Amino acid sequence: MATTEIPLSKIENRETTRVVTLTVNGVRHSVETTTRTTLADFLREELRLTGTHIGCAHGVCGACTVMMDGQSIRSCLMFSVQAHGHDILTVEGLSKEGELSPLQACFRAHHALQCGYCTPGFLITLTDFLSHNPDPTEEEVRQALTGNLCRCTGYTNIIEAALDAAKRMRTNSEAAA
Amino acid sequence: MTSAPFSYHDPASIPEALRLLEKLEDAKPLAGGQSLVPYLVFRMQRHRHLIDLNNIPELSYCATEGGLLRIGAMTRQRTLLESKLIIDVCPILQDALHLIGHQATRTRGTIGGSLCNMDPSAELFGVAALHNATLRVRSSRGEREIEVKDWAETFMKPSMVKDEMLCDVTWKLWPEGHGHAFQEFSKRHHDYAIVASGALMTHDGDGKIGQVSLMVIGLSIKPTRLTEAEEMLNGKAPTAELFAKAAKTVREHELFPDEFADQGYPRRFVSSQFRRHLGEVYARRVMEAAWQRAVGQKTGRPD
Repeated sequence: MATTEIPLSKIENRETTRVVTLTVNGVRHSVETTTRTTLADFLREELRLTGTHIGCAHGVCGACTVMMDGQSIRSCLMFSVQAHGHDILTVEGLSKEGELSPLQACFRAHHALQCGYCTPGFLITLTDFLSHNPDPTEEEVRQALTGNLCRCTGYTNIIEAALDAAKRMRTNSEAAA
Repeated sequence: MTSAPFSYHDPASIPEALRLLEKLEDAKPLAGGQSLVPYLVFRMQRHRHLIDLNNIPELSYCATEGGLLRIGAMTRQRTLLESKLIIDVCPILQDALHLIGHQATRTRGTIGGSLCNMDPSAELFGVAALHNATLRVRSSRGEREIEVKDWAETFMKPSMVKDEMLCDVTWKLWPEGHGHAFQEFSKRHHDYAIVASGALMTHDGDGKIGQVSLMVIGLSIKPTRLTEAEEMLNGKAPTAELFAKAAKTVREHELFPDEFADQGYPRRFVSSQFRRHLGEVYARRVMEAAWQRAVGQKTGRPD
C-alpha cells in the first residue's frame, strides 16, 4: 500500500521472491516463492497438488484451468504472486469426502476420458459453465469446451457426460428444494 | 516454461502505479496477462519490473454519462460480456467479446490490456474504432486524450510514451435500437481472427440508412475504417447491390507493410490477397446483418 513512502533505492532492489498467502480447496497456505513462478507451477511444485496439469503453458490447451474466486482461469497465464489473498479451487477440491462430484461421476460413467491428461481442465471449465448454465443445449456445451483440447476421446463422450451431469445436478437441486 | 526474473510491484492506486512507471527502468504494466504472460514465458519479452495493475479498483468500472460510455482499462472482458448495461446500450461490444478467447481467458483479460497489446487481430480495438473512441492516458506529468485513429504508433505499439498508462476508453453511444453486427473468420472457433468486420447502422424511419460506421480488422496494423463505403451508404435505401458495391471498397485500402512479414504478419496464416477477399465478404455480411437489426428483424448471433 505505502509504496510511495519507500525510497526508490529500496524499490529497485526489491527481492524477486515473495510470500504468497492464498486458500486452495478450502485450505490456507502461506509459501515463499519466486515472483516468476506461474500459478500452475506453484500449485504443482510448491503445494504438490499435481492434479492441475500443464499442457501448452501458454493458455491454448486448457489443461491447467482452475477456479479463482469462483471463475475459471488459466493457471499458466498468471503468476502465483497475483493469487495472493485469493481463493483457488483445483480438481482435487471437486470431490467431497472421497465421493466424486456428479460431473466427475458422469465423466466416469460415459468414458469421457482415456489418458486423463486434459480431464482436470475439462472438469473445472464445465464446473464454471454449468454453475451459470444449468440446462445447456449440446451446442452450448460444445461452445463452452472450445478452449479445452483432448486428443483421445474425440469429445463426444465428454459432451454426453456434461449433458448428463447437468441433468443429474438439476434433479438433485429439485429434490433438495 | 518460466519467465526471466523480474521484480514484482502491486500498487493499490493509479498515482502509485504512475510513480513506479516514472521511476523504474524497464517497467512493464501487467493487465490481464493473457498475452503478456505468454510473451514472458516464451522469453519473447523480458522486463526488470512488472507493475501489476490488478489491485487498483479505480481502473475497473463501466458506466454511462451524458450519452457516453466510459470503461476503465482494467475492466474484465467477462464482466463486460455479462454486463446488463452493455447489452442495453452497446450490444456490438458483446457481439465482439463472444469471439475473444474462451471463458477462462476472458475472466482475466481486460479491455485496456487488449487495446495496449494492439494485436492486429484484436476485436476490441475494432469496436473502439467503430465508435471513434477516445483513450485517456495518464502519467505523473498529467493526462491526455488520444483519438482512436491516432492510437497506433506502429505494429503492436500504441502511441504512448514510457511513463504513460491507459486509464479508460470512452465513446459516444449510438441511438437505442441501432443495428449492429460483428463477425469474424478464424481457423477454428475462438482462434485469433484472420479477418473480422463490424458495422453499426441506424434506420431513418423511412427505409433509408441514417448513421453508419464500418470497419475491418486483419488488413493492417490497426482497424481499417471503411469511410468511402460509409459515404456510399449514408442516406440511401439499402439493396444487396449497394452493400456489395460498398464492400468492394475494402480492396482500395492499404494492407500490412512488407516489413511486418518477418513478425508473422501478414503471412501468419493467409496471403494478403485472401485477407482482402475475406474483408470484402465479411464487410458485406455485417452490413446486411446490421441493417436487418436496424429495421427490427431478428438475426441470430453468428458463431
